[in-house]
This record gives sequence, structure tokens and C-alpha cells, in this order.
Amino acid sequence: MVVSSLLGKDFREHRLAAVLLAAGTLAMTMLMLAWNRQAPYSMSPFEIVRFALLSFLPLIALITGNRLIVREYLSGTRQFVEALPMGRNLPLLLKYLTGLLYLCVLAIMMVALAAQQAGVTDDLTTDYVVLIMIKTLVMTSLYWSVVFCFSLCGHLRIALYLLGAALVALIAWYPGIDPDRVAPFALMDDQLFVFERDLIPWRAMQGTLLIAGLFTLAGFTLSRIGEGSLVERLAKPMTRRDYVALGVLAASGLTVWSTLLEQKTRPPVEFSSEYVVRLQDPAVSVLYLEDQYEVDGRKLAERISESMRSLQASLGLVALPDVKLVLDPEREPHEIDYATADGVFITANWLPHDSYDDAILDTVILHGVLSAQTAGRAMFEPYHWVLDGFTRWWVEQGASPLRDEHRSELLARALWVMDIDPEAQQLIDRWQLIADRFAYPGAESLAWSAMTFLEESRGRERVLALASEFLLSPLPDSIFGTIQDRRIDATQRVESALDMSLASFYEQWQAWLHEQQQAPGVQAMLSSIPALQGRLASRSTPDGVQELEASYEWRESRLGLLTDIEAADGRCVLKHDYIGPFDTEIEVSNDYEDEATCRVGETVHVLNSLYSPGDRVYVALDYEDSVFHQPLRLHAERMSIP
Amino acid sequence: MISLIAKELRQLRPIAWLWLAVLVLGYGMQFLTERVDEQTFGSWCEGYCEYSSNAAVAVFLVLLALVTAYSLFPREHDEATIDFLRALPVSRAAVFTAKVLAAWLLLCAINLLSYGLDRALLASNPESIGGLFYEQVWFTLLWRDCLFMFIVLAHGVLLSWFRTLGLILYSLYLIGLMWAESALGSAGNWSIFALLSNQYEGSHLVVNSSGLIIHTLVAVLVLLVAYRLWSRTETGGGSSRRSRRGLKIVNGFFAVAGFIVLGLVMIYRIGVDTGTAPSDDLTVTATDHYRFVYPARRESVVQYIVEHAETDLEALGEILGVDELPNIRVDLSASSEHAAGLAKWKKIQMDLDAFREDISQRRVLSHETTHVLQATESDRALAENYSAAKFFIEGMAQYTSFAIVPEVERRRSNWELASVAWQRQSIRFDDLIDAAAFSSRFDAELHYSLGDLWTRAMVNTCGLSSLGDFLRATGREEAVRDLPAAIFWRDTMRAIDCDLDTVNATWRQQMAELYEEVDIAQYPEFTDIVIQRDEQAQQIRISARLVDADADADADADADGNTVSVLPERFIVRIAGISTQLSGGVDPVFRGQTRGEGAEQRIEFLVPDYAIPGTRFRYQLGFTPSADARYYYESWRRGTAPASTGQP
Repeated sequence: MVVSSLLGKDFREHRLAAVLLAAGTLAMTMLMLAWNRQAPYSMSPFEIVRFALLSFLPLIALITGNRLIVREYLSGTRQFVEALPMGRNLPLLLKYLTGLLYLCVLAIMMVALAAQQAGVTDDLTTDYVVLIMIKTLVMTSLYWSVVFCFSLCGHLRIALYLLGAALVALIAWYPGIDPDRVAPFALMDDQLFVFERDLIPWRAMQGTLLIAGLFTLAGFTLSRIGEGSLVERLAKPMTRRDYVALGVLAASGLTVWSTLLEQKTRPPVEFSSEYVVRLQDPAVSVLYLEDQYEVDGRKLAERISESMRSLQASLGLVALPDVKLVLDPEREPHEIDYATADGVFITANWLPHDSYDDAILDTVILHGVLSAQTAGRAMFEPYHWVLDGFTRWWVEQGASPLRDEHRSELLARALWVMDIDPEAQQLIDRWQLIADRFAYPGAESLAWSAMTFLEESRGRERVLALASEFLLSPLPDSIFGTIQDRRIDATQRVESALDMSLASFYEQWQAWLHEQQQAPGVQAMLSSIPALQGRLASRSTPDGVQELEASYEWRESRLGLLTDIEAADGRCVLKHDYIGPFDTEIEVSNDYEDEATCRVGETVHVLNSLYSPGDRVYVALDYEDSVFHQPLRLHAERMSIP
Repeated sequence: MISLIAKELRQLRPIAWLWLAVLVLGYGMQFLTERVDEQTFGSWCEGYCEYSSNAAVAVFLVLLALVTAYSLFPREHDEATIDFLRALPVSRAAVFTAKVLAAWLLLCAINLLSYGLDRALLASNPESIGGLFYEQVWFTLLWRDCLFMFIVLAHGVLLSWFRTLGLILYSLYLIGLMWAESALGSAGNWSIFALLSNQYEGSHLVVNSSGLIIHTLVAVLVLLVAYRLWSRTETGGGSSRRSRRGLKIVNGFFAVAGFIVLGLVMIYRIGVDTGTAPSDDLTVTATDHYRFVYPARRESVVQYIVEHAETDLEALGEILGVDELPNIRVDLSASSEHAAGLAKWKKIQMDLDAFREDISQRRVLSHETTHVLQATESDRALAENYSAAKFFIEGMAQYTSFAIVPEVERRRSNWELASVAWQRQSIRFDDLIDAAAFSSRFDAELHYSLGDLWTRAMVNTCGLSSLGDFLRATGREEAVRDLPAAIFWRDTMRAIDCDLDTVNATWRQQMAELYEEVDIAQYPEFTDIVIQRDEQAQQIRISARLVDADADADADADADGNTVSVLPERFIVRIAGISTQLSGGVDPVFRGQTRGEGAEQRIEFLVPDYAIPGTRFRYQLGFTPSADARYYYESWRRGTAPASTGQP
């Protein structure tokens, strides 16, 4: 009698809304089923059931909970019901069952509609429909249990829903969390929910029901604490401060949790091929691919290992990262791929190398080693020149005597850079600009010449002191790392390591560099470089075709460069690539290039229809000959196509 | 008015603390995990400043504004505190305006604080290139975000009158936008997310001015409606029976209207979609592991497929080392313009109209069955690494299906096309393992043929069994999830004792050998591209000349006189989708026609202007090298169409 009265009251109060909501739900389901039926590659009408469970059924549960429970608790009308001689639990239990029943009926109708829509392609069997039905009801019971529990939390429920939504989003999308291990997510799996017909997901269903049970229990417990006084207190409006506190607490909790999840580890990658030379202490592995390349691979591994060992001893490094090298015989000699995500990982072709090419490769490897040593900080512009200069210096003359031909080539390139841009001596402030304008080889030669000057004028120990200042300590990846590193200005640190002012260092180094111009080997190298500079222009032809043109012209030089274009044996190469709207360091690849005979006073390169107004493009004009191992960058520009 | 605003700001203080707490938490995380002086403008802006727009960041801004809007009026009315305000000698309009202005000022202040802090942090980067600051972009983003906040705040003030129903209505609006983006490619200026879309002229950010103007005007109108509603709403305690009923009616009206609108959208969708074959003439046939459903009129081809299905499946199982073959349901009645088949877990759908030859249909079944086995053998783990493994997922399916059902000519043609793209567009393994980046630079269809060739290289290097071993290795219990693509590949290959670098070396060698055999004359290149707008026809006209690939290898050659020696059969242009990433869509394609003769001959593509909103767009030109071949697409290019004058 009492039960029927209570049910009757709820029925009278909510019948219109319930009917409208049900009609809307079913109408929407039918429309979606019709849409699904007509859509290309709609796999099954039961996908609509899954979609409904993920999208609007939670909303319907929310509305049902709001009407059935929240209203009564917030407005205080439950006290009239509780005053009736039937105990506190029965009205709540009836509300719980009413809501659950209502949602289950909706869910069953959705499944039934989908089943009715299913055609012969869906191979409809009783077992299959029952399986889908059970999965659907399990999820529905979870939704209702959550809504039931949260609805009893008064104004706090909104915060709880937001928190719940954030938790769901975190599990679903946060890298490192496997949603398949969380029962409701496993049950709602994109592939298995609809298309697994043979296996029953017992674990996922049990887990989901367990969570649903816990929420239900929490709801009933909440209503009993202090004979309902807690629920009553929660029904009182929350202050904004409460919301703030909750928001901060929730955000902090999620942050800590997601940080903890980052701690997962995995073993470092290793070569598993039999064509690998492995050396220990320091660990160097070389993958040489075929028997015929084994000798070269072994030589390389031993050379690198020896170089790293002596570097470790000289700088007092405690540990060194693993170095792995992969042979790629198809590559150009200086086409080197470099990664430091898992030790130092280099892909290159060392087969056609001469000693200068070997030095380039060894420098790249040590660059990676020392960069990893500082957790990447050595690449920061004010110190990057030390990293580049020191690694090349170490490879060339750190552990063995410097070869004359290497010295000549490096000095000639450094002089050529300084001849074009005297500002390039500002190693601390302009390193990225120097590398951008003259490419990595140009910048590196300049830094190497600075190190060599230091060695020759102040001794080897001074070079090691400079390296020790910037290349030894790993810097934390945090603002504390920044503060620790920037407490003392980079210039002061350099001056302290050099034991001289930066201005006099620049001055003496430049004077020394110009003296080196007189060396016959250097002069010979310089005289092979044509005194060219590049010029770029973007234009639209009368027909509307967008073209980017490049030409070359003579420039003044005091280095005795080549002034007869016919005598130049090299080729002029235009390299280009899109760059984004914001500048970052870029090393333009050889993928997009146009090679031509060098000519003066006329258009040499034309890029037709590749770029259009509004684009930003990096364009470099290189001179490639047989005298220098690496190209000389005659011109480089970051262009906005007008 | 100023004292009213000040009072409202005081009242909003807890909300301000909340947003400040969120900011502090964000900066706290940043400070604990990054060296702030290494951040560049590009890295600061990542995910928000790219071309097009990013819905994820926009959703956060929407939440920020909606929560603030909801804290303005409902509580004042529920707690009847609005009556005190109304008792003051100020108009209701002034109270309303003060509240909205205060909320907007708060949101602007939060924005300003955040942008100001970011600016200060970026200034700590002393690098000559990495430390560059883009004043115009920074300032434009700041004022655009403030305006966006105003627009959403206005929506929120109106929605808050409907309380929870308002949020449901907004959810429906978002669902509508998602649908529009997936179905139409874009929701245009209907979408609030389009307001945050970015376009650049060099480094200069160009905003969606028309969208911002329209939405700002709408927001002002929305505020007027909200004012009417809120100013006529009495407080909870003193509300009349009549007004409560009015509220109910309005709530009910909007709820019903919401469903009706969504329903109409879906009905429209049904009207425009392509259809499947009617189910009444479908027939069923089964083998040990397959259950086929097919249109009765396709009896002959299905008989051929069925005849070979079990032996092909067994062969597949053998290649992949499958212990227990699954039961698979195959629906042969599907229809699509975009794909010949689709597999999901243990179900396959195929479009029998996709190919003419029976053997091709049989091969498609093998291809899709491979996907089923990939899913079951890897326990769905391979699909979880979809971006890193897409080329392998499709490539392995190509490899196994061609191995079981040889279609020598088709495969050869695919390989040839892939080798040309590989050579000309400099495609590397690192490109393959990032599906999204690959699709933004190259033709996404190349995943199939390049993947086939890469799989071939893997088999040649590590043996046939490596394919199945790889699948099981991805699903192994100890496999770490969400690895970066390169590490995922190294980690998984290491688990099966197969060297990735050796496979890559083999792949490159095979690709180079293939390219050597290609008749390059069949693969000309587009040049002299002209983009014009035809206001009258509401079209963008893209026209280009075709020249032989080696014709302009050196600038010594004069390209003007060159004509193509082999004219392709068909031409196509693909325009990059312009969605706001709410949901994925398909890039629209348009056929091209030849115009003129000899040296004057050009290929002309007519693109409806709705496919290119604004002036900047990305496109890809393509052609078929021979009658039966797939389209060969050149790399993506960026184009600029002349701005519309608005006059036909």
C-alpha cells in the first residue's frame, strides 16, 4: 500500500517528463538507426546502442536523477516523505529501483529497436541479442548507480560530475593508462562491444557491476550517516569557496596521479641482428648489415670507443650514454641522422669516408654524447658554440695530432665565414644566426678555430676548462635548472673559464685567425672558392604563376677568392623548404634542391609554382665542389612570399 | 555603474581564485617539468597557433566562460539576493550590464595575466632565433581570446536561465557541429570553434574576421534576450505560479526543439547519404569460418570468392602463424566511394562494385581478413598504435593478400607508383611511422603500396614468420603503451629479434631498384600553376601545365617550350579539409580537364568556393599514369586564391 502510494506519487509527478524523455530518446535512436542503415560502411545497428550508451544515455540518467532525487532533496520535500511511517530506506530504495527500471526499459527498447533494424548481414541470433542486452544493462546500471550516489550529494554533485568526467577523460586519453584494464572501458570496447559474439566479457561485466554496486552502497550509506544529516548538509548550497577548494583539490589529484603514471619504464632498445659489433665500457654498438662491411664497422666501433674513453678520462665523466650506429649504404657521406631519445642513435654511411668525413661523423657522435650528458642544455645558444667547437676540437686534436689538410680546410671555411659576416665572432649571442646563415659546417669551423686558438695561445687545459664549465653537469628539466644555470651570466662564465675578457678573446682570436690566412694550405683552399653571393626574388608572372628565382653576383673579398666563374669546378645548389610562421632552428635537407652550373648576373634557379603568397620559406644557396668536403653556404634567407 | 561592477567583481572573487588556481597549477607543472628559458614562441603556441584551429584548447576556453557565466545569475535568483540589487536605485539593465561586464572583465584579466606571464617567460629565452617574439601574433591571440570569451559568456548567460537544460542544449549544438564537420567537411561560421581558426600571411596572424563580427553581433542579441528573460524572472522564493509555469513551458519547448532540430539534421543526413543495397534480395552462404551475405545478383562473383575463401584463410593463418582461425562474418552488400572494404574485429564489409575482376574481390577479402587476424593476434594492440603502424597494418594486408591472390599487374603498377613517389618526394621510414604527418605531406593511399614494399623487405630480412610474431609482440603483456613511434618500432622489432635498420636498408635498396625500372615519361610533373577566382561561377580555378619530369631538371633548359610526351588519362585535385578537428572528414577531390593544344595545353580544375573558405588552402594535384592505374598525387602544396570581392 505504502509502496504503491509512493510509486504513484512519483508517477504522477514525473509521468509527463518521463514520457517525453522516453519518446525523445527512442525517436533519436530510430533516427540514428535510419542514418546508420543508409550510411556507407555502417557495420551494425548495435553500434548505435554503443553510441547511445556513450553519449545520451548518461545525460538521460542525469536528468532522471535530477528529477527523481535531487529536486526532492534540495527543496526539502523528502522530509514530508520521511515523516511517513515507513522508515528512511524504503522511499530511497523505491526511487533507486524506479530510476533503474526506467533507464533499463529505455535501454532494452534501444536494443530491441536496433535488433529490429538488424538485417540478414548482422546474423541476428538470440544469444547475440541477449549478450548485447546484458552488456547494455550492466552499463546502464553503472550510470544510474553513479547518478544515484552523486544526486544525494546535493550541490556537491556538480563538482563530482565534473571530477568524474575528468577521470573518465584521463583514463580514456591519457598516455600510459590502458583503458582496457578498467572494467567499464573494457566492456565498452570499440570493437568488442558489438562485434565479439563468441566470448562473454565476464571480467569486464563483473568489474562494472562491482563499481555500480559500490556507488549504490555509497549512496545508501550516505543517506544513513547521522540519520541523514550529512545528506541534509550537502543539500545546502555550496559556497564558491567550497567549489574553489574542490576544484583545486581535484586538479591537484589528477596532476599527481598523471605524474605518477609517467614513471613507467622499459628496457633500452638494442640491436638484435647478428651483424653487430658490440663493445663495452663505453657501450658502442655498430650495425653493419652485411659481412663485407664488418671490418669497417669494427674499425669505427673501436675508434669511437677509444675516443669516448679518452674523453671520459680527460673530462672526468662518471658515465657515458650508449652509442648505437647504423650503417645505411645508400646515404650520402654526410647525411647523418641523429637521435638522443634512447642514448645516442646515429644512422649514417661511413663506407666512402676519408679521414675528414670520419672526423665529421665522430664529431656528431660526441656532440650527442655531451648533449645527453647535460640533459640537452649544451644545445642552449649561449653554450652551443662550446659544444660544437669542443667536440670537433676533441675529434681533430684532442686525442691525436691534428692533420694539416683538416686544419687548412677548417681554417679556410672559418675565414670565409668571417669575411662575409664579421658579426659572426659574437659566438655567445649569435650562434643560431651563424648556423642559420652558414649552415652547421660553417658555424662548426668557426667554433673549432676558437678552440684551436685557445689551445695554441693558452694551452690545452684552458680548452678542457671551458668544456668542463658547460658540458659536464646534467641540468634538471625544471625552472630550478634554469635558475641554477642562469645565476651567473654566460659571458661571465666564459670569461672565468678563459681567464680573460670576452672582448679580448674575440680580438685575439680574430687576429690569430687572419694570420692563418697566410698558410699555403689555407690559401689554396680559399682560392678555390668563387667570390659569389646569392640573391633571391619572388615574383608573379603576367600569367599569374608564382616563381622564386635565385641568381649570383660577385662580392668584394679580401681573402683572394676565385673571381673567374669559368674556373670554378663546383655546382650551385638551391635548397628550400617550408617553414612555419614562427622561426626555429632549421637544417634544410637535400630533399628539395635544384642544382645548376654557377653563372653570374642571370637567373640560375627558378622554383615554379612551389610556393604561393603568404608562405614562409627557408632558401639556401650552396656551392658544392670537390675541394671542400661540405658545401659552402653562399646565401640563406627566411622569406615570406609576398 | 562603476561601483556596481566593482561589487560584482568582489562577488566573482571566488571564481577568480578558482581560475587563478588553475593557472598556478598549470604554471607549476610547467616550472617543474621544463626549463622555461628554452621555450620558443612556436613551442609556447603549439596546439593553438597552427594553421586551422584546435578544438581541444577552444573547449577549455568555452568551459572557462560557461562556468563564469553560470555563476552570475542563477544563484542570485535561487537565493533571492537579486532582490537586494533590485531594491537599489538603479535600473535592472544596469544591474545586468554590470554583472556581464564584470564577468567579462574577470575573464579578460585572467587572459591578460596568462598572456602577460607567458610573454615574460618567453622573454627569458635569450636565443637569437629561438627567442624571437611575435608581438602581432601574441596581441592578436590575446584580443581574439577576450572577444571569444565575450561571445561564449553571452551564450552562457542565456543558457544559465535554462539551468541544466541550457548545458544540454549547448551539448546538442556541439554534437551538431561534430556532425557537420564529419558530413560536410566544415561547419563554417556556424561553429564557434571556427572563430579560433588561424591563417598566416608570413608571420602575420590573420583572424576569421567575418566569423568574429557575426558571432559578436549574435552575442549582443543573445545578451538582449538573456536580459529580457533574467529581468522578468522573479526570485525562487517569490516566484509566481505563472512564471514557474512559463519557465517550464520554455524549458519544455527548448527540449523538444532540441530533439526536433537534431532529428531534422539526421533526416537530412539520411537524404544525402549513399545507400546500401536493399536487404530483401540478400542471400546467405557459409563456409567453415566465413558467413557471407551478398546481393543475389552478384551470385557468380560470390561463388568464386566462396570457393577460395577457406583455402585463402588457411594460407593466411599459416603466414601469420595463427593457431585458431576466427569465425568471420562478411557483408558483401556495402557501398562506398572511398574504400573497397572495411574490417572491424571479426566482421568485414566489402563493396563488390569497387573492382571489376573477380580475382580482385577475392584479394580484397584476403586483405580484410588479414586485418581481422591482425586485430585478434595482437589483441587489438596494433590498432592502438595506429599512427605509428598504419602503413604496416595496410602494407601487411596488401602483402599477404597479394601473396595469396596474385594480381601481378595491379601490384606492379602500385609498386611503380610508390617508387616514383618515394624517389621524388623523398619518403623515409620516419615519414611512414607518423600517419597524420604523412597524410599532410604525401598521398595517404601510399600507405598501402609503400607498406606492401616495406613488409616485403621485412619478410626478406627476418623471414615470413616475423609478420605474425610482430602482431603478437605488440599485444604481449609486458609491452609498454603509448611509446613514441620510433621507440615503438624499435621495441617491438627487438622483441621479435628482427633488426629494424636492416629491414629499412633492404627496403631502400628494393625501392631504388624498382624506381630504376619505371618509365618516367608516364609520370610528368605539374608546373606553371595559376590560381584564380571566378566570382560569377563561385569557383576557384586551378590550372597547370604538365611537363616531362626531367624537362626542367636544370635551369639551362627552357621550360616554356616543353610539352608532356605521354598525357595521363585522368586528372584530379585534392583540397585539404578545413574542419576544426572536432571530427574527421574526407578531403574533397575534383576532376580536371585538359584545355588548349600543344604548348598551350593546360589542365584545369574547377573547385567550388565553399571548399576553400578564406584565401589560403592546401591542395594536391594528381593524375593516373595509365588507364588502370591508381591516381599518382604530387606532394601537398599551399595555394592562395585571390580574395573574394563579394560581387559576381
